[in-house]
Amino acid sequence: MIPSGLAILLGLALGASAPGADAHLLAGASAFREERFDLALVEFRVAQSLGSPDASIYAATTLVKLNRPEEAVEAYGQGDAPGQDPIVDYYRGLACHEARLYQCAERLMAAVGDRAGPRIAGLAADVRAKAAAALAAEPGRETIDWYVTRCTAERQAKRQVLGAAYCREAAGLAKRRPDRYRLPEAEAGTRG
Amino acid sequence: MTALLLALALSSSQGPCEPVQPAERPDPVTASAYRKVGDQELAAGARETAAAAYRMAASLDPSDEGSRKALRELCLSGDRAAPSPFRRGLELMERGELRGAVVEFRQAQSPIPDGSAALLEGVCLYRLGDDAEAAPALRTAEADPAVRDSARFYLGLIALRRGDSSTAAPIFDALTPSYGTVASDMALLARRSGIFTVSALASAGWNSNVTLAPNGYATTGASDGFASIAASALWRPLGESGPYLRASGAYQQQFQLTAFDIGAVSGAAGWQLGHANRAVVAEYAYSFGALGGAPYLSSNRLLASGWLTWDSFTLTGTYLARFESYRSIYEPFSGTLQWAEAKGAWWFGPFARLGVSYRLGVDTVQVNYLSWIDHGPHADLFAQLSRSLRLGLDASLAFRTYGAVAPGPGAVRKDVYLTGTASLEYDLGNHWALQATVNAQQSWSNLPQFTWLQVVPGLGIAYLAGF
Repeated sequence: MIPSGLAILLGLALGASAPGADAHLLAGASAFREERFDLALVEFRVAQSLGSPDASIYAATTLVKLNRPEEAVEAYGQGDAPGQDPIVDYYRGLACHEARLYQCAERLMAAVGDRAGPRIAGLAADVRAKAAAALAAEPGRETIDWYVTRCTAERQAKRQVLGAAYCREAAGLAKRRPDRYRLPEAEAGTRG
Repeated sequence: MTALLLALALSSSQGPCEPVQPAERPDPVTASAYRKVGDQELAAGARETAAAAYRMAASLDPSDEGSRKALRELCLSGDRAAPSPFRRGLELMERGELRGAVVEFRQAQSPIPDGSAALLEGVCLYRLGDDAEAAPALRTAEADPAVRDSARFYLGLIALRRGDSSTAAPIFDALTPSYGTVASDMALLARRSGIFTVSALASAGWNSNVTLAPNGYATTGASDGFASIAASALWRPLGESGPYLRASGAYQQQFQLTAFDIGAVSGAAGWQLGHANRAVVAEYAYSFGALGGAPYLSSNRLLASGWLTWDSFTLTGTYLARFESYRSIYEPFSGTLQWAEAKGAWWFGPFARLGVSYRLGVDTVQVNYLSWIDHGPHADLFAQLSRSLRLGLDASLAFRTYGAVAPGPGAVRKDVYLTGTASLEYDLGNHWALQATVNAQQSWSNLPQFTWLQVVPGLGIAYLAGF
C-alpha cells in the first residue's frame, strides 16, 4: 500500500529530523495512513518549520493527495530528476502530470519502473501513457507560449520552483521543434 | 510525543468547529508553528487545512486568541466562504447562467493562465451562439495540452456552424484517435454540410394503393411500382445563421399508372437567426407541381419557426401559410392552407432523440365542403444504431373535419388518418448512403369511399456533399 510505504520511508527519515520534529512527522504519517490528509499536511508543515529536512517531501506528497498539484511541485523543490525513493518519484510524477508538466511526469514515471512493486508500476505506466499521448505531436508555438507565460506568472507569484518547472517544460518542448521557438527564453527561465 | 498524538487524536475526532479541548500540557512554541501553518493554508485558500492547524494551535496554547479568532471566523463563514472564480463559473454554468459564467471564467484566468477556464469560457460563449468571442477563448485553451483536444473539438463545431466544412472536417479527423466515433461522425457531418450543400436521392418502390381505392372495393390495378429522383441545393453564405437560398426538384414515374406521375420544383429564400440550440427562421417558398404530365398546383408559402433548447430538451414552434392555386379540374381546391405545430424533443444521450408534437391545420378553399380543419399528435424517434446505421420512426394521427355537407353523400365528411414511416439509413462512405423506407397510411372516414389503406416500401441511394 502506498501509505504504508510512506510510513516506512518516514521511519528512515526520523533519525535525521531535528528534535521535536519527529513527533509531528509521526503524527503526519499516522494521519496520512488514515487518509486524513488535511491533518497530515498540517503536521508535516509543522515538522518542516521545526527543522525536519525531509518533511517538505511528505508535505508535498500530501498536497498531491489533496489535489493541489502545483503547490506539490513547488514543495518538492528544485529539479525534477528521479530520486532514491520510487514512491516519492511516483507522487512527484503524478503532481507533474496534474500540473501539465508532461515531460517531468514522463521522466519520473519512467524511473519508477518496478522499483515500488507491480501495483505502483501499473499506475506509473498509466500516467506515462497519458503523458506520452499529450506529447505525441510536435508542440505548437501557442503551447510553448502557454508554458512560458505560466512560468513568468508563477515567478511573479513568488513560486520560483513551479515557475522554473514550467520554463523547463517549455524548453523541452521547444527542443522538439526545428525552429527552437523561444528556447533561449525558456532556458533562461529555468535558471532564473 | 504521546501528548501530541493524543492531542491530534482528540482534535481529529471532533469536528473542526466544535469547542477546542485544551491539551494536557500547553506548548506555546509548537502552537505558534501551527498558527503559522494555519496562516499559510488560509492564504492558499485551503480552509479546511487552515482550520485543522488553528484548532491544534488553540488546543496547545489556550491564550492564543489569534488562532481562536481565525478558527471562529472560518467556522462562522462555513459554506459562505467565497468560492474561487472557476468554481463560481462552474456553478453558474450548471445553472445555465452562461453570461455570468463567462465573467467568472475570465477572472479565473488572471493573473495565471488557466486552460480549463479558457475552455469553459469558450464553451459557454459557443452555447450562447457568440462564436466570434468563443473562438479566441478556445484558441487560448488550445495552447494548454490538458484541454487541447476539447478546445479543438469546439473550434471544429464553430467552423461547422459557419459552414466552413473544409476547416471543420480535418479538425474532427485529427481528433478521431482521442474522441472516437463522436469525432468521426462530426467529420462525416462536416463533409456533408457547408456554405453550399447538395443532396440527391434516386429510389424505387411500390405503392399498394396509388389511386386511394377504398377498403372493401376491388383494388386490382390500384397498386404500382415507381422510380423517383430528387435533388436539392442549399446555399448559406454566412453559415448556419444568416440568409439562405434553397432549390429542389423531384420526379416520380409510375411504372403503369402514369396519370399519377408527379413532378415538382421549388425555390425558397429565408433567413435563420441563431444556431442549433436557439434560432428563429423566416422563409418564403414557391413551388410548382405537375400530375400526370399536366400542371397541377402552384403555391406560395410563408413560414416562420423558432426553437429554444434547455440542456437536452428543445421546444419548437412552427407556423406556415400556403397560398395554393390548383389547375384544371382541381381548381375548387384552391385556397389557403395554414398549419402550425408545437413540438418538444428530448435527446437521450448523444445517439437518440424523441420528438412529440401537436399539429393543427386549416385549409380554406373555394368550396366550403372541401375546406377542412385537422389536428392531432405526432411523434418521431431518431436513433444512431451504429457508426453507419441510423433508424428513424415517425407516426401521426390526424382528425379532420370538413367545412360543410358534401352535396353527394349529404353528410359532413370526417376522416381520421393514421400515418407511420420507418426508415433505415446506412452510410456508404463520406457522401453516399443507402436508404430503405416503409410508409403506411390508413384513412378512416364516415364516408366509406374515403376509407383506404396505402403501404409504400422503397429503397434508394442518396448523395450528400458540402462545399
